[in-house]
Amino acid sequence: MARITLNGVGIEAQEGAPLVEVIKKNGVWISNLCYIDGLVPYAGCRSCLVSIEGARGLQLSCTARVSDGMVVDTEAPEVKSARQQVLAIINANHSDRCLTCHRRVKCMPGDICLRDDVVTHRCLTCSKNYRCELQTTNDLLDMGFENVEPWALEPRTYYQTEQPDPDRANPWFEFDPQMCILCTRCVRACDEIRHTTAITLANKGYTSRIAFGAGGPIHESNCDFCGACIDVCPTATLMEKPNKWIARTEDWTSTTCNSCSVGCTISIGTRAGRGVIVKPDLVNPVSADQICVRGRFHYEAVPDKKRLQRHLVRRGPPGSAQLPAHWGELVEYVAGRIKDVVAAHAAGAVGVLGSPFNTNEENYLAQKLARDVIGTPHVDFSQAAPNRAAMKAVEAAFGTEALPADMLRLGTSDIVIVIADDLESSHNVAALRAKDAIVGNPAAPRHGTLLLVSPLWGEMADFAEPYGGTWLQPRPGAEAALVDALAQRAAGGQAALPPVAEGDLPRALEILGEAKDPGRRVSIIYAPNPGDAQAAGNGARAAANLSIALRGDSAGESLIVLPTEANVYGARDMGVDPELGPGRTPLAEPGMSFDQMIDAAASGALKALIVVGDNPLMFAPGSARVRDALASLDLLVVIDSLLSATAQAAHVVLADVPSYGKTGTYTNGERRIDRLHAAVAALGDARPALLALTDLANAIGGADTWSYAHPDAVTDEIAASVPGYERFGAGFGAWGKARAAVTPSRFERQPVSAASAAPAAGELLLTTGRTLYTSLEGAAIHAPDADKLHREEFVELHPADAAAMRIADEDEVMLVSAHGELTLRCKISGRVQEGVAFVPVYYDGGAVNRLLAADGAPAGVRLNVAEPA
Amino acid sequence: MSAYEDLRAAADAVWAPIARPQRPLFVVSLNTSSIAGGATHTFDALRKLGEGAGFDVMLTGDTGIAWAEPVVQVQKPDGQRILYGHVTGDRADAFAQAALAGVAADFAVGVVAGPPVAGVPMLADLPWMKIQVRWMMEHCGVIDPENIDHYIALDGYKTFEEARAMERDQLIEVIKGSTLRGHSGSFFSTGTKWGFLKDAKAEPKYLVCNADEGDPGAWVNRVVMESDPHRLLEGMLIGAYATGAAYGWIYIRDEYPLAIERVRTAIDQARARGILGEDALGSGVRFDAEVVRGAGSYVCGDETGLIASVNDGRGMPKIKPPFPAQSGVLDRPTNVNNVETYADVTTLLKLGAATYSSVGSEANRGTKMFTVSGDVARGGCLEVPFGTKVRDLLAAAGGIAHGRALKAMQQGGPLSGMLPAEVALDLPLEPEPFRPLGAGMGGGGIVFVDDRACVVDLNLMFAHFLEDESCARCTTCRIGNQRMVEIFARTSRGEGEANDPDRLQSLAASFQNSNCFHGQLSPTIMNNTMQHFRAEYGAHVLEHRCPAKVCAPLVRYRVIDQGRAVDDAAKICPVEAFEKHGGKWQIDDVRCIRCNACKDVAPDDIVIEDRYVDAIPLRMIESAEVARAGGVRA
Repeated sequence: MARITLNGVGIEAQEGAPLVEVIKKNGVWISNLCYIDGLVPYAGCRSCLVSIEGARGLQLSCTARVSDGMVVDTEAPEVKSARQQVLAIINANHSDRCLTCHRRVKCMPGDICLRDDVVTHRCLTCSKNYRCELQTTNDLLDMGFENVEPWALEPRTYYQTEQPDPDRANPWFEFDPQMCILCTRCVRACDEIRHTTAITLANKGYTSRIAFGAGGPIHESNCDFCGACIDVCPTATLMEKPNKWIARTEDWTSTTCNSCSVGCTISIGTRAGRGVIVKPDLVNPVSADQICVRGRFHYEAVPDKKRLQRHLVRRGPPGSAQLPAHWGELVEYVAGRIKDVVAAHAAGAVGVLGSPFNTNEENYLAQKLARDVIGTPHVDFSQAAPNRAAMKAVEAAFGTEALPADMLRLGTSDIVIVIADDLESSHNVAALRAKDAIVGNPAAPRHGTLLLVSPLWGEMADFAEPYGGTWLQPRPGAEAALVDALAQRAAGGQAALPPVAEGDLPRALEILGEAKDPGRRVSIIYAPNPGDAQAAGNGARAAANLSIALRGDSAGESLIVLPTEANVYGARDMGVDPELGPGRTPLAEPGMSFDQMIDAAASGALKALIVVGDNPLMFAPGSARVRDALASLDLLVVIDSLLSATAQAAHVVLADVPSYGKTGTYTNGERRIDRLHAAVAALGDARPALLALTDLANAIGGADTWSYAHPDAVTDEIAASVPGYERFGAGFGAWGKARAAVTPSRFERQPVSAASAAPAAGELLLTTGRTLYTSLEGAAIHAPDADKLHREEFVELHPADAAAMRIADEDEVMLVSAHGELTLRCKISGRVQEGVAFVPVYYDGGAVNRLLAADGAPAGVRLNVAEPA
Repeated sequence: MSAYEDLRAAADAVWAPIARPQRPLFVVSLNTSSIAGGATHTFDALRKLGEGAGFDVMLTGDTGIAWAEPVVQVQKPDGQRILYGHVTGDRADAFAQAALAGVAADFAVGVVAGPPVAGVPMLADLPWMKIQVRWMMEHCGVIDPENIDHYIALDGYKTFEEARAMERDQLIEVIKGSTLRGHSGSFFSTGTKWGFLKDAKAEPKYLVCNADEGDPGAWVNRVVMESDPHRLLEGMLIGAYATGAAYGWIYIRDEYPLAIERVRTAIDQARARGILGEDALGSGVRFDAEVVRGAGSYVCGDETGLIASVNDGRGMPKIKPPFPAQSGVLDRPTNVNNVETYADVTTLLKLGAATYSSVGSEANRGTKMFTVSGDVARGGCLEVPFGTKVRDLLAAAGGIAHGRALKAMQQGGPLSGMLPAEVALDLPLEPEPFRPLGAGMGGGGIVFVDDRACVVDLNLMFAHFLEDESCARCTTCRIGNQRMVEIFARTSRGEGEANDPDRLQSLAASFQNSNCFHGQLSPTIMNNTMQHFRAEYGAHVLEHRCPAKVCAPLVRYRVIDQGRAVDDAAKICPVEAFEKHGGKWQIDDVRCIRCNACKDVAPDDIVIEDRYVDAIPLRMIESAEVARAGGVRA
């Protein structure tokens, strides 16, 4: 530590730390318009000048490094004046009249400007007014009317030079170069923080400007719309397009994104109880200050009017209308019907579905309602099968499914092994941390190696070979066999390696050899396919084998199994599983799994189903049989915030609030316990599912069965009663920092069964997976804009297949499998390999599930070119 | 025999017939200046003639005598060698006949060697040559730059042989011991800089040669590369030995295609002779080099900007530290010197410290090359000892053309300042005296400006250049130069404001907070001229008058005499501003675009005069009123 004097106050700071960060951390404000904490200083804005005793002239605090005995002054008159002069120069190329006007706080956008400033050049008519760093900097540097304003009434090149048009052509970003002060924070955030490099500083001199890709519209560049550039932009140049004009928030609420199992913490800004903006929250140290396009923009994927605001009931025959009804009336109605079913048949004629998108509290109460109140053991959720298969495999290998591997390690790993379809799309921020490990940034360079096993091209593939790694591209379904063979080779065996379409197998073996070195940090990420249970089980076995072969007794520290959905582990831990109770305690008498419940419903053995947040018609493969089974139920109750396909089939729909309106906890893909806080207000009559479950329990089991006054009461009960969650009561102070993981008790290799069969001649192998842009909620209500960029409304084909079938890009084709058919346009892309077709799993409310068998395995499909209408 | 002696023997055989030709040898200067003057036609014509007339033709680089291009030297078997100038292709026939017969008196500039010739001065006696000490330029106009044997035969690469006989430390000490400093304008001790690289820990180390000579009016490095590229390569090779560098990049601006070609040829030939490559002349020094073409960015003349460009990055000067000696090309230790500096290392070691120190000033021994241009009678490249007076340099260049007066000297490009005649003429040409004047000496380009120029107009031109060439990193430079352009642009329109000097002052202070010299030195010319030519600014701002009659918005063209030339002038007016009223030509001031075409045709009949003779400077009144009211305008 070094002792320095800052404005006459002695402070301690890390020797060699960037001075500007030390100044800011010590509560002293200093203008710095181009610096990004933790990155190499760009030193472009020149506004962070300070005086350092003994140094010649003023120094930039961003490039200056702390050294012992340094005497720094940020407030001396000459320092302030120099900073004001620099800021005046910056202002001169920005619409600055309001910036330096003392009337700004009094004016409204519609007022006539007494200084005759152009309407479009006023802060008051700028969407970033009062949340603009340049404005704050002007205020705090006293750039007011009485002080420094040397360029007032100047004729400007700013007005004379033709500016590029703003880019408003995409659904999320607005890019207005006229507002730009060329601080290049966006360029560096995109390059050094996100490793995307979609933004560049183009041209020189006065024609310099920020450009996306080759200078065209943002959506034609390789931008992933993560919004890291927006977060660092000090002006209104890069802005979120949704709610741009109303995003002056009244309140910020920290909660957790539900788009994948990384569980990034987000802060939702609200205005009048509506979410209007999302920023990354620093609570979860893995996501830290980064989120992806889903986390940032899916809060507004579904407009309020598409949300359920009334509770609905259908009393007539199937197909008759669902009519609004009062809460109490419906609760009584449902309770009565359930009691009727139990009386007429048995408690076992009722099933309950939880969901991996529910909070732990909701899932806990859902299974408690089933087991304790109704008395049925049939508890599951519709996407459970692949996750159950994977977790059973992990349990068999390690004696526990709650592995201790921590994703915080990922960013600093020496070797990263990724076994996934397209990690970049399914778990964007996890992919980002993997990239961190491979390239780092200039301030903290890293030289990790990536071994990628993926049947599908994703951006991760570009981080393999150029950085000494390799991308192995097996056939879909053959990943497990390949990984297992690699594991055997790593363990010294002589297994034959299956062929790969791409990749350098000898290099892969070299990497595995390096990964065995106990001195190396190794992370293995396995993200099972969301549909195929058999593949997920095999894959998890293979991944476990590999981690044991490479890391021996510390294998559990390396392997991270990332499920697709947000709270799969929470659902399992809470006992939303036919075989496991809360805390994953095995049950003596297991209930029916989801598939069994569907079969039972079809056969008439299951009469009533309570669906808490689940949407089987979207998630379960083989949709046709699910639809038929649900139709034959006597009572289908759905608790959801959307009128999903399942809700439309229900007898009773209880309107829930969206996840942004819930309080509770999630258990993410590395069993980190993340906290959700209700940010948005309930719409209309909607009530949180916890309330629905409590009222149902009391109506079924008698008035005082449950008495949860607040979600926290459930959280406390979980802490008290669920093994592994002892620490996580409502009063827990370190949400996002702690994990519910245990040390493995054994390390056992397991056999991996052979890859599934190839499709018949003339058929393509249909695979599915999570894609980056499609919104879960938008897809659930079949919103035409669920994928706002319309990039994912396609079946992707290999050029050779398309040529053989004489299909042109964007042709409409019909996919026909043994189970159903689906018409959609095709995209000829290099992402898939020959003989394979890929359809995003959420496309049009899980439409692809129609084509799949109940086990979700890749199916053979024929392609028929649709006749022109 | 050593590898060098083998090479030398072969080279001597090639050189002998050039040094003592059996039949007349016409040596044609082919360089960028002469080619612009038509030297390729001369060369082709002479070659064709030579086949029949029995003489040989050889190309050479640049004699430095740009004022007489195309230059041809004729070497006779009897040892007489005469330098001729202005030998254009169409006159080549007549010239060749006359030169073969005796002396082509119409073309003769001076006798280079041999007995005096009546009516032709000895070249060395010309004021142009008399002032010079041609060490670095010893081969300029002598050897064929595209033939390595010529260079070797004149003791080329022998200096490297001698240098590597020394210990590396000793070699660096020798260079440190001389006053040899970077010739690009920074004047940092070359020996010290080499010492940094030698002491750098990381491997491999690299050398970079900065040949991105972008200062307007400077072509010193071009002369070296086009005339004697191996002197540069030998300097780099010595540097590689002294510092342990393994590879070199010669970053040549793309505007120098001939230099790129000749340096590439030189590298290829040196590699073929085993001079560059794994084992230079059997010395164990492993060094190779390649040419990188610059893409036309002025700031790539800054060493870190240049390194960024060599690294395939955006040509932006970096934040220091790290310095290039720690992290340069490919993040490895790197030393950047310019062409002249490397060439001067060769010169220093070749001459020996004693000879090298025999000329020059107290603080700066040795010589420096300068290119003189602008409104001088004779422009070209000269090599003079440090400390030579500007007055003497100007005199050698024949003074200001057409007997006009010197107004200002613009030396070393737009970052080094502009000094008025009364200050400039007595300055010795070495960096130190320039500094107290708020200026720099720069890298060797000197532009003399005569009294027809307007300082506001010059400032506007340089500000435009600086604005355009900003890399866009520092706001102070990128936007500061835009502001400077705006202020000078409106001043040149007569719309300058009373408090503009204060604004310029404020800008000048902010420029100091820029990262690289481009930003920090942007206000140099503005500062110099605001100091020395304040009255001329005042005329523009207060009187709406351009004393030099240059600033277009402040002048008008008027016909004062109805000569015949006016009829011609009226015909070529591109905007048909000439109108005949009552049989007399008049110029419609609204249509006139001040292209000056009519004045060129009818210089005596048309005058340029102040447009606003009695105009009241409106903005002045406004400013003054506000000032009187004691307030600041809103």
